Amino acid sequence: MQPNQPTGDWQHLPRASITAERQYVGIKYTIYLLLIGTATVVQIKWLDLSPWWMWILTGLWTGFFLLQFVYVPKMRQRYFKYRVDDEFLVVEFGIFILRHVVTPLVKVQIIDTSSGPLLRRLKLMNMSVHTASGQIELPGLEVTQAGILRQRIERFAKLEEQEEESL
Amino acid sequence: MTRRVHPLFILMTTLTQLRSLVIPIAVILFNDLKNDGFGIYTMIGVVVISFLLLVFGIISWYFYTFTIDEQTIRVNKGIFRKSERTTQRQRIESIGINQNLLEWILGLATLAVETSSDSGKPEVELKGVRLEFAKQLKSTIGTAVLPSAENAETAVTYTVGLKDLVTAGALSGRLGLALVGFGAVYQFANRFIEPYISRAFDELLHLSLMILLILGGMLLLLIYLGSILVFVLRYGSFRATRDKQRMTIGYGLLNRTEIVFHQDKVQALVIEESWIKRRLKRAHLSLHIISASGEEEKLLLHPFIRTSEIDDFLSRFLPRFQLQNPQKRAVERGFVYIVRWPLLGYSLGLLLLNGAMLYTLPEPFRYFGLPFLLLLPVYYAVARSGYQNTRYGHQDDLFVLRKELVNRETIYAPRLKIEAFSSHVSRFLEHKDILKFHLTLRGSTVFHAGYFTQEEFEDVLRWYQQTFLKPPASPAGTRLSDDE
Repeated sequence: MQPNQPTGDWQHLPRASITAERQYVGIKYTIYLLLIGTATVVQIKWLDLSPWWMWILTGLWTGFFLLQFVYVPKMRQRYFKYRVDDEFLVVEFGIFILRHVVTPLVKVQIIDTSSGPLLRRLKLMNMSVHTASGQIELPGLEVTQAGILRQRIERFAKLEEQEEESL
Repeated sequence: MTRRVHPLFILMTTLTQLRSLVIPIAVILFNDLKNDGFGIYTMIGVVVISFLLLVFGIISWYFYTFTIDEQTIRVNKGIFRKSERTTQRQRIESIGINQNLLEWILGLATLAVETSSDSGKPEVELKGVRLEFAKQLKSTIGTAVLPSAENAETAVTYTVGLKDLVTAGALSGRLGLALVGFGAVYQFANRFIEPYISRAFDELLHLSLMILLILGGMLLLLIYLGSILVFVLRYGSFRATRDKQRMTIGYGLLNRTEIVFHQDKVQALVIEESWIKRRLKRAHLSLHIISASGEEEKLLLHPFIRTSEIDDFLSRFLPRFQLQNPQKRAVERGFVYIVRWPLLGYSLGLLLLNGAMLYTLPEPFRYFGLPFLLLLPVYYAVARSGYQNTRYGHQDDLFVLRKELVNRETIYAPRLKIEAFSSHVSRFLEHKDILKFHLTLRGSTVFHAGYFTQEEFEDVLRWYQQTFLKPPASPAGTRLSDDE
């Protein structure tokens, strides 16, 4: 058995993944804003309640929004990378905790791809690679990039693993 | 063959359903008794509920069938919502026989068939079969799936004696769990025994401090002895047999559990040595055999083995795992980062406890928590020397990861069983060139230890990233070499 040397180049997420994530966060927070805003107007105008801690919560909420809208998508695109070394999927990710995960492709059980209207408009899709121990998320891949990766994984998923010989 | 389980299943289902209703029924009966004896309506209610449960049991039994053929095992059940579970016999990873107290009394058992799915529970579960029949079924299914000795190799067996079990129970650190259990029982019973407890407290207040301390100590001792008894009941008559590649492990004095598995299905061997056990040169061995999360995932192999006997024990019962002494040590500069969060947690916990005691307890008791603060530097010193034993190593196909601060845990995992190998480090520590190793097995099992260097991680990856594929079979007619 020869050690498996890095054979592929690191693949990064496309710039469009930043736009996609920002659009998703923007829509999510707009819905929250409408719901919470309506409740707050009712509370202040008709119930005459405006507790002091409400403004702290508003500040925290705005902070979370800015973090998720401005920094997180940019950092995710910067830090997320993957490559396929012959038989292995190698993924490096994490904004606060850096994770470097190596998974043998023969262990892959399910490849799950999904794309909503936002991702489809930008020609992107999410991929989730499932093994018996969990899953690896690859968010916002280009459609062609995802197709190539899926083909490579599928090729190995059909092959026979050494361990199964005892069955 | 398609057949039904034993008719005693009806009684078992009825009693199980009744058991789940025992608390509301007991509360109703107790209230009735406290007022003016059992009312006629209460009695009618209890009889009607019991009758309905019996009818439910009969119908459940009628629709509960199973079929075993050469390829599959199928279980059909359900009255309104039908369910059919089928599993391929070749996918079976282990077969177990479990008996709870009720089944034990009725002479029944549950046959649990586990596969590699990560659903968290057995793929097929056959309840309410006679114990003898379950054993027969296990051997019928097991013979086809889990190859037995074809050559006349003698099976080897070991048992764990009562003395070892009692000592293992005494050192298992289950006092905390026992205290929680005691607290829960007290919470439930409190509403019924409150007046007696208040009276007892009033009488106790007049006693001297020494007697109170002795009484408290005796109560703790009683709970501790109870925890040992639970351990012995759970793992009593421990017996493991290896028949070539097939392993059978059975334990339990009341709820008997028996599991059969092929040795290839062992995901990892874990050797745990607590601080006290290390002084006694003893260890606790367990196996990870299936992917499912939950109790079945971690199987006890030996509760209290002498460390000097582990090597010999493994060569007889688990020859794939050989005892190793990993050489690569964790880096010195990582210690502070490993110990900071536990130390901070213990410090905060002790400070809060002392604060609460100072404000709530009377004069002689309020300072009792302060000496525990002295344990913090002791913990630091013990962890400091323990950390130097955090190591890793790999030899042939086996990876060894040892984590130690106060207690020591060593994991032996075959390379081909490791589902993913990863490193984790915070962005802050990334610049210090240190990281933790994470080793993921089937199911939700993750072992981790650190801190090691990036270079060491790459060394492990070079070992791990060898092919996982089965070598291609020689084409028909190929001439074999002399060795073959």
